[in-house]
Amino acid sequence: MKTKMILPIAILGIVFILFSFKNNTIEKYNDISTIETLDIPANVKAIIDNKCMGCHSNDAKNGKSKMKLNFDNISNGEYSRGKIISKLDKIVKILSKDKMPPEKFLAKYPDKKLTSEESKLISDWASEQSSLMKGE
Amino acid sequence: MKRKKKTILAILLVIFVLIQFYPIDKPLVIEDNPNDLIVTNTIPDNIASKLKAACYDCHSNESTFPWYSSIAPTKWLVYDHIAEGREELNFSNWNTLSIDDKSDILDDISSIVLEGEMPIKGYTILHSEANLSEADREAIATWADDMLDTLYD
Repeated sequence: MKTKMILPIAILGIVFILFSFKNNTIEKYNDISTIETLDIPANVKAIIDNKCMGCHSNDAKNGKSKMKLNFDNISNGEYSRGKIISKLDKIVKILSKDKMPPEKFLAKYPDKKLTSEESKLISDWASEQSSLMKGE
Repeated sequence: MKRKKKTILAILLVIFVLIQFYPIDKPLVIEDNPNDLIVTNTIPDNIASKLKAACYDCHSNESTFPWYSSIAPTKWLVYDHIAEGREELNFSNWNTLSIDDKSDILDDISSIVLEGEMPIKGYTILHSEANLSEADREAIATWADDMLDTLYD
């Protein structure tokens, strides 16, 4: 009898923990108005660092790509809230069309190609952050 | 030799005359656009006039057609640019766009104008009023960024 009770209680406990965790996350993001609180999980950050920052950061040499999207501006407060939302949406849009990194660039640096898993990770992250920032 | 030149010229002339009859639809011009960006929003005068001068020929229903746009083959080029420009962005339909589309476009305006990608070179050569100074570009980018911020308030 005792062992039979453990499983449902454990499940209830886990559900409760997950639920409260989820609520906390949403609350935290509903309040944000600046980028400092934009959450970038380590695995997403690693992909962006490795495959995007070469052209989309303060250190990039290409002015054009930096002008279109500069990840440093997301974390240093240079981009406003609206700007970040639009950049996040654009990331989702461009990745869905497989447009980044550009073909010409990949011809030279084939190892920078995003695998479909990596692309999905970034895209899911960007779309989630965008929704949270919009308060959806 | 002289004769050869003459024949070539004659052939070219015939081709030139013939291509004038090639049917191609002129982009529709609509003067009254209730959903236009400048009509539906309070845009500072200096920005509105720059947008009209530098963008509206291809990015609105209010395109104006210079003399060379009634003659083939330049006509084809102009019509094509206008069709393509309107498809990318048509300020005349501004208020029919979703917030996300507006934000996407305002962000593009800011970076594309600042970077000098727009207006295209071929256009500014023939339209000096569309030549944007560095200050104009910065003013347009700042306006676009500010407007983008108001979208999600």
